[in-house]
This record gives sequence, structure tokens and C-alpha cells, in this order.
Amino acid sequence: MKPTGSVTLATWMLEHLTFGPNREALAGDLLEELRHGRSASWYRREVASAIGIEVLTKFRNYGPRLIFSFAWSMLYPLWWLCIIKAPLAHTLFVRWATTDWPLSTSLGVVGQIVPAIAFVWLGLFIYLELFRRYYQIIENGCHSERSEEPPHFVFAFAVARSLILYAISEFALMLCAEGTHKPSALRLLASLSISLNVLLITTMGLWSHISPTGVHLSYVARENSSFHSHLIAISLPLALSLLSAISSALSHTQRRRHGTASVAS
Amino acid sequence: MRSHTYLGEFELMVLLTILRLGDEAYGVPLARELAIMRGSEVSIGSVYATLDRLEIKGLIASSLGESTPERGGRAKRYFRVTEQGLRAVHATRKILSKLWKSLPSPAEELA
Repeated sequence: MKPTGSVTLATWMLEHLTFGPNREALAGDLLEELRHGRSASWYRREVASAIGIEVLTKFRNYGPRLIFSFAWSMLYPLWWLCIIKAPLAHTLFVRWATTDWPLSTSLGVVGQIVPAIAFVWLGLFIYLELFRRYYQIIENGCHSERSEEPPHFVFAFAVARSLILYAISEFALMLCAEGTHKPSALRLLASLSISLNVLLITTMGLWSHISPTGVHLSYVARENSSFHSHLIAISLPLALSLLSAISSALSHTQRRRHGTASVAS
Repeated sequence: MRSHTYLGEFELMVLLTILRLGDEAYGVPLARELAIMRGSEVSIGSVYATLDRLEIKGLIASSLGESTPERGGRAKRYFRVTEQGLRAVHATRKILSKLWKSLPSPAEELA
């Protein structure tokens, strides 16, 4: 029997850097092969390969939502620009500014947070709609009749529809829907709540990071059209918030296991 | 209607190997058998990645087996092909058989 001391680190890495349900079985298989005469370098190569595959798989699963979250958060200055250019919002901001303390401060905070939350939640709805349409195309488009619409039209239509209708009609439909790629209403509510928490926590973190430099967070948020380093800073909480919401909403679609595990005697 | 599950080359190989091994289909014999059939070494990690994918698709099912001291007390995970998996293999064979009929031999191609 070979000593396994030289592969202790590799075994530790395998157990801590892979997350799949087959992790234990994989570790056992590699040890079994090692005990049957495989070399320690073979073992280390196999471990490195398993970790590499795990990282690639994770990136394939989470890559699109990560990219979407950061790309969407970069649009926040435009969103903010649209809000402050709107006559109603402008009137509200002016009116809030003239109110007495502490109401003026509270309304100021609300005026900062509400647009950010609305922006994140809109991003979530758009992503869910795109995700659902993508799977509809994958599942139905290949076999039966070919869709007459070119893909770019499908996606443009999906975005436009999401902007106008999704928040109202689709949410109501979700209450009774059993679609495979649709989150339940409860899960969606949890996702919205998680996104809000993440947004608040990360914003507070950003605030504590920025405030010693003398830059006020609301000033950063109002830098609506210029692209400088603070834009990345303000985008980070938004992106993390949206990413957490998407991951929470779609977590049930990642794994749909059909096998049941049992321990043989 | 739900669409047919298309199988990749390695996925098909893994499914056929599970069928070939029967009740003894777990990571080590699967990797060994695949290596013999392919004529080249197969990483156990890549076998498990494929097994994981096939299980998510519902083409195979797994169950935990006995744990042995030589495995550091870790249990084996045995795999079996589900009814859906068997149908997918047959459907893939049907499609490939049709396509292979029109495959010209190298001699004809050169002529």
C-alpha cells in the first residue's frame, strides 16, 4: 500500500475546492486508484483536472448572469439621468429639498434608494424574461416548426415587453404557473428581498469606504453621464444586488436531479 | 412537447459504458473501461462532470454504495441508465445510423 502523505494537500484541495454532489465519490475513486498503484503525480494531475473542470462548469453556469449584472449596472447613470430629467421627479426633488429636517433628509435618502432598487428589480425581471425565452427557443425551436422571427427581434421584443408588462401581468401569472424555467412567486419575492438587503449592505460598505476620502455618496450617484472611477464604485453594489437576485431566483433551475441516493448495506 | 435530448459524443460513450458495466458502474471501472475503448487515458474528473450532466438531464440515476478503507472511508456512487436515458441512446443510434449510411468509403472518395 502506498503512503498517502504526499497527496494530503491535493486531497484537501479536492475536498474544499469542488462542490458537486459527487465530490466524495470522486475523492474515493482517486484514492482507490492511488492504492492500486497509480503514482502521486497522477493523483495530483487528476485533482488539478477535477478542480479545473469544476471552475469551468461554475463559470458556464454563472458567467452569463455575472456579465449581465455588471453590464446592467453600468447603465445606472443613464437611468438616473432619465429620472432627474423627468419633470415630476425634478419637482419632487425640489419640494423635498425645501422641507424641514428630518423630513428633508429622509426624503433625500428615499430619493436615492428607490431609483436604485427599481433599477435592480427591473434588471432582474428583464434577465428572467430573457432566460425564459432563451429556454423556450432551445426547447421548442429545434424540433417542431422553425420560428419566423430572427433572434435579435425576439430579444428586442422580450426587452420591450419586460419594460412595460412584466412587472404587472407576468407576476400575476407566476402565482399559478408551473413552468420549468419560471421561479415561483415566493422565490421571486425572496429574490427581491435578498437584492434589497445586498444593495443596502454593499451601499453601506461603499459609503464607509468612500466617506473618508471626502466624496459624498449621493454626489457619486448623481455623476450621471461622466465616466470616471466612481462610476465603477457605484455600479458594484447594484451589480452584486442584481447578481444575488438572479442567482436566488434561478437557483432551483440549476439542479433537477432525478436519481435518489441510497446507502447499500 | 418537450424536445429530444441530444447526446454529445462523450456522453454517449459514458451511457454505453454504464450499460456495459451493469451493476458495477462507478467512477473507477467507468474511467478504466472508457480508457480501454478509446485507447487513451480518461480523467476521472471529466467522467464525473459528464455523469453529473447526464444525471441533471435525467438520463442516469445514482445510488451510494459501500465505503471501504482503501477509499478512505468514502462511499462509491453507482450509476444506472434510466428509461429516458435508454430512449435517448436508441434515438441517437437511429439518427447516427441514418447519417452513416451516406458516409463514403475512403477508396470511393479518392477515386
